[in-house]
Amino acid sequence: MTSFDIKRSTILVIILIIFTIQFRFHTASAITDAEEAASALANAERTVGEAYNATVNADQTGANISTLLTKLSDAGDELSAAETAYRQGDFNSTVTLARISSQVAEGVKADASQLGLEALGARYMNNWFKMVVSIVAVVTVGLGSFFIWRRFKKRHYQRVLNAKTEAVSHEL
Amino acid sequence: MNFKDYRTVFIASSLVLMLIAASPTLGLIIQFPSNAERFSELWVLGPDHSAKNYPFNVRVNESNSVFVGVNNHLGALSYYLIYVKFRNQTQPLPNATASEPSLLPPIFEFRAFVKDNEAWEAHVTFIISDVSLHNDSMSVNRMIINGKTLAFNSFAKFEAERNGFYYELLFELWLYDQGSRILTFNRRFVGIWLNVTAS
Repeated sequence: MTSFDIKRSTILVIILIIFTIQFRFHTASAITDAEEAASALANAERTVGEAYNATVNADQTGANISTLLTKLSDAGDELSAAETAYRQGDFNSTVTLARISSQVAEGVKADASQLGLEALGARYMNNWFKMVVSIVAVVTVGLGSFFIWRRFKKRHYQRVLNAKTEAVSHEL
Repeated sequence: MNFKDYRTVFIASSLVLMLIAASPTLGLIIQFPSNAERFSELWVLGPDHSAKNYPFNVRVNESNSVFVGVNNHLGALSYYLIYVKFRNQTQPLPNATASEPSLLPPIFEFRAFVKDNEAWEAHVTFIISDVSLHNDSMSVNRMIINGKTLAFNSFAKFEAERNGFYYELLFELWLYDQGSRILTFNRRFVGIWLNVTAS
């Protein structure tokens, strides 16, 4: 083996080592990208689900959810775009879109809670008002009926008494 | 009518009036269950927004469109996912009876949040942008849906009887379950058949 051969072999080994390291780095980086994208997607899926649940709760308390629905649809569109990008292997876009979706969904969650609380307060007041109106109305009807009945009874007895008096005077 | 009869009529009338007066509060306590059937609708309409003129003979790089829609009759705001899948005649369809979706991976999707008794609709434009022919089989390699380029491979054998390569653009309806917090196949799917020609 000449010194030239040794030199050539050494260079070859160094190149091979560099290639191996680079390949490993790229593979690891690709795996990291895929894992990061999957994690961002899972997070967005969960957040959109929570935002939907919060919106349903707000809707059930009687809140006006029109604005929330528009935002929720935006979050859903971004999530769908992120899922499509993931299926196409575009992990950078996946992460970006999934994060946007999560952010919008977080906003929806916060707004839904606030709107839900406001609607609950308004509903509570409305229910109280209905109950007070009902109680007042029932008491009024009850008392009114009682007095009308008393008057009717009095008149009835009076009429019967008058009729009896007339009958007695006729007999006499 | 004697005095006792008058009294009975008067008490009955008073009670009816009292019930009417108490109705705002009674309405808060007594809830009548709805007998309405709970279900979701999924539909596909042609480009002129009717159930005709569906795209059928589809050429490469030619733009086609349909409308896909969902109607919510579930009694509350619902979260839907509509998967778009592309299959040949031999690939399995979803099994609605067993609640099993098609095993094919989706190529595109839509998410919709629909209030009770309301509908959602999307305009779907699609272009088959790349196909390759190998003897008696075709492979669709790329498709553009609503401006998004999607790379995949779907093979179909030439059908001598119908003289063409047949594919189905399939739409599957999934619904978010609040209890389990996951999206599940809602046993509804619709599709349109496409006779894909390379030129």
